[in-house]
Amino acid sequence: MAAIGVEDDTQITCKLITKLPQAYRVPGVSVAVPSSITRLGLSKMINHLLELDPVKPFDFLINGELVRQSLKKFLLANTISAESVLDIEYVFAVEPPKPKQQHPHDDWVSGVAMRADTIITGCYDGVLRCWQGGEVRSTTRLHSGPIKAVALLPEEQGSLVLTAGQDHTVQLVHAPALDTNADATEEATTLAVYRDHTDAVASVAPSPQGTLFVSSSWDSSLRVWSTGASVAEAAREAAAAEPEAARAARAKRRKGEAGEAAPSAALEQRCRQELSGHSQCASSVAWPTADTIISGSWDHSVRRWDAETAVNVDTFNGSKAVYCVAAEPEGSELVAFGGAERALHVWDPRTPIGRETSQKLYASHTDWISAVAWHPTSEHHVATASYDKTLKLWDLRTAVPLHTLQGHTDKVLCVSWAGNILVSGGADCTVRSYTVVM
Amino acid sequence: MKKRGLDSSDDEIDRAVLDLVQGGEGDGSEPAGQRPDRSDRTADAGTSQAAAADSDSSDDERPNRNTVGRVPLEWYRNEDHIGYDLDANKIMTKKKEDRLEALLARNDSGKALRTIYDEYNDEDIVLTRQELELVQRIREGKFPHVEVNPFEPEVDWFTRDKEIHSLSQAPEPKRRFMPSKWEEKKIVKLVRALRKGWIKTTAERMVSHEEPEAYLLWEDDGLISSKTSHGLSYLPATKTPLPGHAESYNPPKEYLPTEEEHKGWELADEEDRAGPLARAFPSLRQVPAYDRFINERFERCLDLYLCPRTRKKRIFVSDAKSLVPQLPKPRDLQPFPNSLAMRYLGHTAPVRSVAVDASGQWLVSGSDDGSVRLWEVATARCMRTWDLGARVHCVAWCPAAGLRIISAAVGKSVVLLPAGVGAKQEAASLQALQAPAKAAGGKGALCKWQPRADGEGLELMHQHPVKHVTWHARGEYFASVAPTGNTQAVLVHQLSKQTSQNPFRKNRGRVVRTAFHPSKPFFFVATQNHVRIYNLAKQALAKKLLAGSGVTCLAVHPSGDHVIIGGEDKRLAWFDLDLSTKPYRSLRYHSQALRGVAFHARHPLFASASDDGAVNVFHGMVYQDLLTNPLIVPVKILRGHEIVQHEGVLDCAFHPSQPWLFTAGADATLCLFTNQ
Repeated sequence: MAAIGVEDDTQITCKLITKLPQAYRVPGVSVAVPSSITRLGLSKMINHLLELDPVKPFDFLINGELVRQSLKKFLLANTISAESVLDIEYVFAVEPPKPKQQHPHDDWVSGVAMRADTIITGCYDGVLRCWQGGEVRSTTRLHSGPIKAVALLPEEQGSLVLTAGQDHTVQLVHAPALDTNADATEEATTLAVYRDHTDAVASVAPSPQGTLFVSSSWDSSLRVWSTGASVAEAAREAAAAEPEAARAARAKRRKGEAGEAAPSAALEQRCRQELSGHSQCASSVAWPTADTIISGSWDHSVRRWDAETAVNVDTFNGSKAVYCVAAEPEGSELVAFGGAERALHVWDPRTPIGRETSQKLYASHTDWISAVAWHPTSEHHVATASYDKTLKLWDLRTAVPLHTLQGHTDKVLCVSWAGNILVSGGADCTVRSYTVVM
Repeated sequence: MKKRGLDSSDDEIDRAVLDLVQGGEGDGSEPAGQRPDRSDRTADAGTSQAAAADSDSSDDERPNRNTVGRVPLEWYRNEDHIGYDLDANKIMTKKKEDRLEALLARNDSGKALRTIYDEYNDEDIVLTRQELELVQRIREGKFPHVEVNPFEPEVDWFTRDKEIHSLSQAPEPKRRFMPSKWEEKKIVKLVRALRKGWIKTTAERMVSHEEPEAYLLWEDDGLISSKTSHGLSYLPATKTPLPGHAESYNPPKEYLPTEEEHKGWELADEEDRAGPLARAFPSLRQVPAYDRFINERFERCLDLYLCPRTRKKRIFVSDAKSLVPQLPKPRDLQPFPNSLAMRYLGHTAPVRSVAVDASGQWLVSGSDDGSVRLWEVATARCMRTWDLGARVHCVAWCPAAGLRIISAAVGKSVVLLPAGVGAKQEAASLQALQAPAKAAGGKGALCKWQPRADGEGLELMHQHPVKHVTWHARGEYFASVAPTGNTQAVLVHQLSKQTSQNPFRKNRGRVVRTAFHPSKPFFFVATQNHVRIYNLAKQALAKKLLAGSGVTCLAVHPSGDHVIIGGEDKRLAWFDLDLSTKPYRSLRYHSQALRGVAFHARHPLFASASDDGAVNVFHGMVYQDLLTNPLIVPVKILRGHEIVQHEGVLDCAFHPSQPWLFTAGADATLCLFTNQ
């Protein structure tokens, strides 16, 4: 093998490089380190070299892969020669996430989203709740069935939330709690209802601009709808134009029909486009860049769609049902998905399917993966939620999870990032948030 | 009637006798009406009618005084007696009157002409007037009795005219228009005998009598397996080697022994000699008799007698594994459920039944605790619970598109519930389950459709406890099974019209399960020992499968050509409906009775659940071409349920699209097994 020569007391010559700011750069000279050194030793060495006062942990990359064991073992495992000078890149290590807050709910939490300080949760009882600083700001009953997913529209569209319900509808909701200027205790109001789906809606994903969104449903279709500030404005105008009496009559009729709380004069929206191709429940959808939609389905496939033409560009066929997909937000086009199996898959659509590099497995969970969320700014970090009651934080550059977050006492159903805060909700009727320092 | 004096009557009689003797010119009508006075007789004849009635009987015959019997009377001619009376005393012969006295007496007596001498009893008999009349009538060729009228008016009992009513009023017996049972038995016997060739038709007899012109003389020489009449198999003796050139009467020169060989042969012991020496004769005529013939025959007989000859019946197999059929490895047959993924907790009593809806999103279960629960498949969340108050034996989804209706067999009723998952299905299901305009069915109706007392949905009140509900693939019809219902065990209901009908006038055996064919108009009815397949279009029995004993569950392959049946005999039987009425494969993998069997709708999988707490998963590949038989491979034994009171897994159902298996257990849980 190429790694011959690595013995117990072997010294490895390495060069420490980094892309970190100037303050964290060590002089670019080769140093000899014992082959049995681990990342802790390396981290201590750098801290010593830089004389950092609050000690900062570092992680080390060799050939783009995180070092999780001793250098010797790493070199043996990757068949890298120990004789040449080794380039070791160091980055800030992700510290263990600290539990931040816990919010008890009345029912299972199936959708969670967060912006700034506000957490929006959707529950199985059909209620949308807004939390601020550990307290409920508003509680609004929106759907006649459970809410399966919530998604925030981008900030420039206003404080708007999309909720996907098992009652076949998606609702565009104005949540004043998200607006820093408005009165936070005001109730959320439904502005528009999207009704074209013929079965339960499983997930929603807004486009990066926030003027469109895509929803996936148990009727195996994906539908693209318009949303955003313009729809919200139209809804408000329509509501204002509608006489009070008509509104009341309508509210009454609706109450009689469906037995649900009447959304006040909500605008009914028709679907703009339908993406059909899945043969079974489209369980999850993501809209990472303006022209790409990713969807995962129970028919074991993950599909990439062109958002403009509604054409299925690429398909990855797995062997298990897919429950959740997440796409890398910055355009590297990587897709992470999980489902009815214990491993997280990462699919690279840029390489032809069938090649080894097109798919990577990250196995550590002991039960199905229910949700996956890509870090909004880092292309390497992914959080997964699983039925084994844990959340796991992954760096895709290593097959071992960075951290396992225990705390939930039942299945974890949803996970979301807000900056460096990780929020998760589950079947134990709690929402937990964690601070992740990167 | 006129009474006459004794004498006058005697005179008349005498005259009549004279008439008789002289040629019978006398008037017969006059004495016919007269009443005789039989003073010399002991018996009185009474009225003339009575006399007529008595004429047939032998009562009026005088008893014989003499008892000698029918012997010639000459034997007593020279004796002083004529015979013996009943007391064995001699009857002495009357003293003979001399002729003169006799003539005088004859002339004196008025009765002389009608007096007859009875030689046997040795007495004189005076004939009565009636007897004379009788004699006269016989002489005239008339009926002896006066009152017999030979010309009575004829009563025409049997005419050629057809009568409306039969002569006898008895009803026509049933056997007149029933085919005779005995005749039928006789015919069956004859048919069987004809089939088996015990009796031959004339044509066959003609054929069989034809003797073959030539036959193989040594035919039985090579027959090894043929048995003798004793039943023992015949083993032919090993053959003696054929003579070679050396045994020829004129062998080639090289076979002839040299002098030394000749000497050596003669010097050698008789035991050591290798056969007789070759000798050459100029002609066959000069060959002498073989002197050792008897010895050799005898030795050979001894050899055959002492050497036991047996046939090897055992097959020696060097590698036992070569006998096992080659089956593909389970790992090549993926996907199939192989690990426990999730448990659905909530029931408090054994779960009897489980069903998955057509989209695969919802699961419904029915339990002994009287509740029906609706679960979300992916999260194991109980979305809804209906408390129905009695044990739920079976749950099933209505397969109609756009409807989400749950049917449950509860007590004596089938309950139809709208699942209530999502706005549109809710509306359509509710509309389908609107209460009937008029309460259908009175007391005699098969079942009563009525709205449920508590909550939405309909209730079909049956007359007997319902144990099973199954739907037709299109979701319009469903069948309910009430095993104790006897003639009403199977009812077929129509959802849209809200009507029920009883397809069978009578059920042979206790019906356990029913099923609809997925595409054709066939209906499967499983009784305890048989599965009958009825063609609903022709309304006829299409096939009857012999299912063993104690059928408990039945599943029809999505193609409709195969059926699996589980029973209390711990067997899972696979029937290929194209092949025969007996199982194509009988799988004994369970140690307890089977409770549920299921086919997967898409994958070539089937499963069986049993009271031993295990669920067996099989790969059951059915090929499109009709030549290849189905491939059945056991792939996995799944264990996830505990055994509670001798009950293990009570039902199983496959997910409609994923290779997932749901099982309902007696430990009040539902398990989901998936492929990992």
